[in-house]
Amino acid sequence: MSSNTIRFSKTHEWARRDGDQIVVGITNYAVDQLNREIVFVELPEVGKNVKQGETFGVIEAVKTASDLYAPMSGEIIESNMLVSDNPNLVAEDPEGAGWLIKIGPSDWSEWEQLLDSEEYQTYIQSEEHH
Amino acid sequence: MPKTIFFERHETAGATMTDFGGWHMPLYYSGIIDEHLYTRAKAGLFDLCHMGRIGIWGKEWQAFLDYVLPANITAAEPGRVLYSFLLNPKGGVIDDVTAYVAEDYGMLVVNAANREKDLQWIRDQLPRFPGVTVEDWSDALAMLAVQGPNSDNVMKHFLGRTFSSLQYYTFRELDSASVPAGMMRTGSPPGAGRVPFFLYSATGYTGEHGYEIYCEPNTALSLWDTVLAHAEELEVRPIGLGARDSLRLEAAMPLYGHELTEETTPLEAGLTRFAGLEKQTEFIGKAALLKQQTEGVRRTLVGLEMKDKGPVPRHGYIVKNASGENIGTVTSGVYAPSLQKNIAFAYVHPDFSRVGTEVKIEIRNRLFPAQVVKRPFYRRSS
Repeated sequence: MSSNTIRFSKTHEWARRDGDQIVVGITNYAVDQLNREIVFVELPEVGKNVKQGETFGVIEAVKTASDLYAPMSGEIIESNMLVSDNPNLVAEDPEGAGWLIKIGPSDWSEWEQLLDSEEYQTYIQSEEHH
Repeated sequence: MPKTIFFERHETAGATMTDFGGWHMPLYYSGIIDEHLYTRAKAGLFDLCHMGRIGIWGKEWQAFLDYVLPANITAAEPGRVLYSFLLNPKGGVIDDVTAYVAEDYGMLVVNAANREKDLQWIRDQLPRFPGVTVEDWSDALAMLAVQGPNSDNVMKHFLGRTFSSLQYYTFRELDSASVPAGMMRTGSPPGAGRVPFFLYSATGYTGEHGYEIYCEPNTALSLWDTVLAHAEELEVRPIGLGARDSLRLEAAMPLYGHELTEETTPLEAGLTRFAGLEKQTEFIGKAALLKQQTEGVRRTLVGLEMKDKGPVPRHGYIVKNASGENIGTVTSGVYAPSLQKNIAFAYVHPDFSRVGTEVKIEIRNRLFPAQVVKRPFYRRSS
């Protein structure tokens, strides 16, 4: 995967550019923090508008419920129904089949505010040392 | 933050740690669901040193315990374990405890977060019983548990031919000479003359067959190491507090601070058979419980099962009836790995406590259907 087409948020979502859309999921690191045990994922309805940094859904592990944050503003084009039916798909393949939503971004300048792969790696290393 | 004697072992095993009841404890080693299912299928080894152990003996020690507990201690055969409560005068639960009745002493096992509060409460009742001694045995006696179908084999591995299986809620005490890998006590811990060397009971907090073990700390470390050195052949794994919570919830066992508080009574919690209402002698809280029995409770604990796969009901969520009126509150909830369903405990208005009653749980401003079900949620087959 080219580093130009994937970006990360500090809240551990990834966004992959796919034409005029982005595919969004949570990172391998985030899934590790949830101990790879996902019991429920709540995703938005198609057509809903989300804002960058705002909650678009919830992911629940055995002990915790965590908000999911939109990496970019825009319209929800698709929610991954496979994940709603089988939440553990997120744990098994968070950066592939366990993707969560597709967004049609309304402001592509937001893409540049996200971290690239290298910046994200640095960020999680600094987080781990806390 | 205090750590138990097993702390280095948890770290070495790569456990994810959590703070519980003021203690630094393992939340999980491999994963909560994994450990839960393994305990049900094979066996789990639990570090429970964070719990409190309180020794009680001296002239009239049974009468003293009969005064501070609803359980009938004087009538109990030595070797029995009784589930009971420390109650305030309003019948509210200061703590839920297991009471061990030996020939010449009693031991109360109390919740980690309540250790100091309980000791203080128990000591406050002593002036009426000047011959009784109360001592904190928590440091002198380590505590662990082996739970699950393979428990007998695990116990045998450590105790050898000394081991014998026990009836549910009974215990057996062993001296240092009869514990093969037993260590001598070093120094003179408090209560050295009275505190048991090695004691195990057929009790637990998982709904499985198994044992809780109280012993001299070096012997406890030796047990942990000996058993886990043969973990694969014995089919036993260390289990963290995460699975301990989901196991106890499936077994519908209450957790202090959730189902039981100083504002709730054993009658409300559906634990009337432990409330001592038939007991002849006086105990703290008795009058209030008898009054509540006559007047009826205003809320009652129920088991709820979510109808659909969906969000997990959690502590504090509101329970509503079909017309959307608030009828209660969730006290604990979990994704139940053995049932593959979401389950919860909730206090509800008694009108909604019958098995089969349909209710709704409000989760993040949406209502999800649930039903009152029979407890326990999970019952082992054998």
